[in-house]
Amino acid sequence: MIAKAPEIEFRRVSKRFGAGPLVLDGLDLKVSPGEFICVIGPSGCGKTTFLRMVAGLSRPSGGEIRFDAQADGTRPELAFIFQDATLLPWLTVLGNIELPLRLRGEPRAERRATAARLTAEVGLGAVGDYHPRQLSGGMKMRVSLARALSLSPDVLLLDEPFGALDAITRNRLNEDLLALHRREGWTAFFVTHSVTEAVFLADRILVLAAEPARVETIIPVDLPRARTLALRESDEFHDAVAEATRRMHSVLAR
Amino acid sequence: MSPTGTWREYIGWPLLFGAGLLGLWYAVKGIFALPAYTLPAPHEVLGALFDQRTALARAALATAKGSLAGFSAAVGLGFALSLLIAAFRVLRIGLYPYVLFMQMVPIIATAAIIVTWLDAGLPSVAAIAFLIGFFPVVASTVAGLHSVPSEQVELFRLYKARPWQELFLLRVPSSLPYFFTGAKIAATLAVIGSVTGEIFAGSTARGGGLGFMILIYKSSVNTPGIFAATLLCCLLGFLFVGAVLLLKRFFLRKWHDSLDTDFNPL
Amino acid sequence: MARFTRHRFQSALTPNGRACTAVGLIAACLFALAGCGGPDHEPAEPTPENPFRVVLQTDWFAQPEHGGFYQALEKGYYREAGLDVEILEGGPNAMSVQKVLSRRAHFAMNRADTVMTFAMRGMPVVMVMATLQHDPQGILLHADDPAQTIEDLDGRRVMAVPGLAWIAYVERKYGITLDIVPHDFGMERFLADPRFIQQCLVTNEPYYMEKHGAEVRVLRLSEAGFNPYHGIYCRRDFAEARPDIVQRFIDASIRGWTDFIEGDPAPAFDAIAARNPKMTPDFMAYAHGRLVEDRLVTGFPERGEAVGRLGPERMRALHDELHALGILDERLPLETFFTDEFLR
Repeated sequence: MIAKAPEIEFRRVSKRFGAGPLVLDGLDLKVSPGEFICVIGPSGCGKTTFLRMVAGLSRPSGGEIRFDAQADGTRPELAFIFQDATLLPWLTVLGNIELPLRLRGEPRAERRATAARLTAEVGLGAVGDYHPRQLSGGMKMRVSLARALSLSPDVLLLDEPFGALDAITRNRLNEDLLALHRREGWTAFFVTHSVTEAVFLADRILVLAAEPARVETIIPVDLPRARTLALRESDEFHDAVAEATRRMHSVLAR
Repeated sequence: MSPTGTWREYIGWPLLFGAGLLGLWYAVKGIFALPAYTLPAPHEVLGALFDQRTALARAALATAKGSLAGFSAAVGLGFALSLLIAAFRVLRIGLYPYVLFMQMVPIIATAAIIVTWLDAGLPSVAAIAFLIGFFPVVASTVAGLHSVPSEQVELFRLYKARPWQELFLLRVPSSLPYFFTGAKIAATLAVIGSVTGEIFAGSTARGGGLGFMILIYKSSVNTPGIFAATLLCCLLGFLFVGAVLLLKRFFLRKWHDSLDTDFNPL
Repeated sequence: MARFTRHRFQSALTPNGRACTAVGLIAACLFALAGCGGPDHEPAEPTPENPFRVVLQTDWFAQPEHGGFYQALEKGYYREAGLDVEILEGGPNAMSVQKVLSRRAHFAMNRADTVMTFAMRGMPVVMVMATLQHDPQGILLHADDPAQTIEDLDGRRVMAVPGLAWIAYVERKYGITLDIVPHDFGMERFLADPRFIQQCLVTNEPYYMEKHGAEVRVLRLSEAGFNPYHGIYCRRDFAEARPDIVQRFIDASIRGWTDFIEGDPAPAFDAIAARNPKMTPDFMAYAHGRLVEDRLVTGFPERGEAVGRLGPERMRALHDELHALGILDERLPLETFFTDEFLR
């Protein structure tokens, strides 16, 4: 699995909408297979635009994004998790999770089996037949996550997925997300407003700035990869958060 | 509102207001000394309903048939045209404005023309009921097909859904609440349409219908009869709308929140 | 006593502040909507110089079937009788009986069977004179239609005004069923369909259909036994309060009708054509010919019929027949719908 994830290279990637100002300027970045990148920065710095370009929902105005050719020559599989869970309200939890497979023409029995397995993996085994309106915000995000994983993606793009959740739910989801990441080995791009969340999740934190749009800095996080909630209690985690916050503020204040 | 009080309130208040309105009716009649041919009392209307029960029952059945035929066609063809409009940009740009325009055509004028084309009888009545309901169904359904949240559309694009998948797996289910809104309007209008139709295109041989009975009662100055037939029109419309709301409940109950407001004004 | 709308109009003339003007304006609008042309005037002893204002509501747009009234108006017979008569045209939505009941018109036109129905429903109106001694209603067929008598129409589709007494009358009397479709008061469907059948007046539709190239035949309802008078009715309390006015109106109207039938109808024709441009001299001559030749207005003197006359025997016979056929739910005393006191 881990071998499947591509290396991704951003070369002088920039973006502007129409004749408007640049929302992203000259991004150079090389992402290793299976790396977890968090993207942080003030509103309007182009975080979402960055994700959308990786997803192919939007094209760069300049530069290019290269995914390394895989052995069999296929494009990497991408999955996107929106700010909102974006579930289809008329489908059940299982129905939502199997949707990407259904769109791809997977036979019914197989996609049902995959959906059932994923439902269990994200901890929703008991509510597979529920409709979204019966779920809490955290459960909806779990469905969204399971749906994103249904195609066994190589790259996962997450646009502030847990921003609207309470802190406890959010921390639990972060931990579960990391466990899944460790097992599946996809490359992740995760947009967030929270430095703590970024430090907990990321291998590297990409700090973007607005006006003018630029890549401010890239902060590596030197914490052991097998992170659990227990880590959050540790001094080294607090130090790492303090360090990241300091670096971020120093560069953003320039 | 307390959960225990609800049931009683929902029966009690309507009954109380109903009684009040009936009282007002009798009061108006009494104060202005209105004769039955101007304003029949409620019991005189019920009397006419009873006297004319055979004719009115047959008429109500005929109107129900015309309304049902027109309504079914309006909903079926309306839904089909909506799909075409959603699927083909050319139709959306070129044809949809005319659909919106056609909603404004006064049904009375159309009725007079339809009867010269199709002759009097059920086909004309159903055609008029169809025409009055068709355009609202299309207008609502097309609006529904186009008001899918953009994130859901992006989700489908991201998963490389084919256009027909986007239409049938996303847009159609998403538009159902709008479709039912259109169907509800069509249900109300279907009865109004067939009664209007019967006034122009009714026929004794084809059962006449309530609109035709109203013409007969008008000629014979039977005002209580007109009230009784009108009452039946209202009941019939109520039944039609109720049936649509039940269908909507059946299809949308599990996932749509708006249902409670259909029966419960709070 | 009938007061009509005088008080409303006069309030507009009373200079009593702005509110009064506003009320007056609204009243004036209502007044205009009611279709009345001027203030009512009801002198106790009307003279040509100080006439009593009378409103007559006819049953259709101006046409030769109303000729006698226009003749009386044009030749000044009403004025001589001390009446200032206004003739209101009817039409499909004229609501004549409502105008009489609400005192917006003194007199209106209808058939005797309908006036009986009014009485049955409790409306306080009485028929006071006839305009037509015999019913000009008929059933219009294409000339080559196989139906020769009313009975042959069993099961056929007939465009007519649903609910009119003649329909139930012929159905029950002859044991037939007509497939009635609502009348649209047009000719297109008849002309388009060689088997089309519609209700008509012998004085009217046959002319137009033949003009449009159709060969037609008429089955007269009077020949099938349905032969109500066409006439004038008014509120009973008006007839009781001002019998003098009713008498003057009837006398002048009979004079107008007699002159219209026996003399030169040109004054009426001119007045009708001025109001209803569809009325061509050719058509009016045709309709007048029918009225004269078919003795619709004068009737047959040997049977005691005359211009304006209403015979109690015929009224009673029609009433009894309508009751026997179940068209009138209850037996009505003759005086509840008819009086011949002004015709003696």
